[in-house]
Amino acid sequence: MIYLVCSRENHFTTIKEQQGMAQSLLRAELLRERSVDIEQCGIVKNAWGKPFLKDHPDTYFNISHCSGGVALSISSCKTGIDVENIRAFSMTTARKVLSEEELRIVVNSEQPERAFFKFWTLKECYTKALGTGLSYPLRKINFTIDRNSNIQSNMKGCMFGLLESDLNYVAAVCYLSKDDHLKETVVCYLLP
Amino acid sequence: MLAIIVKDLMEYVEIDESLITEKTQPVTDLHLNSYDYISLVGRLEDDLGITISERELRNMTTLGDLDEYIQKKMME
Repeated sequence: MIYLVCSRENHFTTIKEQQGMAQSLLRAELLRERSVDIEQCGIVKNAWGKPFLKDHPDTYFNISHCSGGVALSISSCKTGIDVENIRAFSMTTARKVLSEEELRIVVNSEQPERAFFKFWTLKECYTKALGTGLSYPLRKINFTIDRNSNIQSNMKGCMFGLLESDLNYVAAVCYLSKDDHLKETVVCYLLP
Repeated sequence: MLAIIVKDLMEYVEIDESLITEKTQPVTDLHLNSYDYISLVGRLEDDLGITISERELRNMTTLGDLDEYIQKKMME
């Protein structure tokens, strides 16, 4: 399942507060959804620092946070999730991470910030699902998003979802699986 | 050069500046998210008039690595 906690006001704006909220959400939902007590089972990390549950090879998770937003994905396959506040971005950064086609779409968009962060979160959730983080060449990943938010990419063996909020957040989730039966429920907690 | 990097870095993190050293890993130690890290690098590129290749960036884990790379680029 996918869990999103979004705030209308200034909840968890500092990194420390975001981490606290993310850890609380992870602990509660792993216990509720999978009967896994994270305090008991412990966490191990891969070479790039991605955390995994110790002794639970069929349960994967990934968390992300930004100012006022926390996202969590729990799945039976490797998963990555990213949530970002939609905000100004620099073209230097965009040129560094977007493919030429994506850059053209962002530049020509009526909402370039939203378009940029859709692509960014998709790329980030893919590298998080792989567990490699920024060590993966981001410009080699190319996404197209149609009017119905269907997502195509040049990466094989994976599925993507895009979650947009009218609170100026965008989140993307990736599953390293091609199993179409893997329909995940999205649970949203909206804080005042 | 490290001072310039740290000055820009402080825009993204909430930490006592005196605790940041060349051994600090911005993503692991300071919990800078990936977008902010890429933005920081883009900002340094704009400020210093250099280009930091994505391939090279992938090999840099500490601020000292970044500092050393930028110093070499500035001398080219």
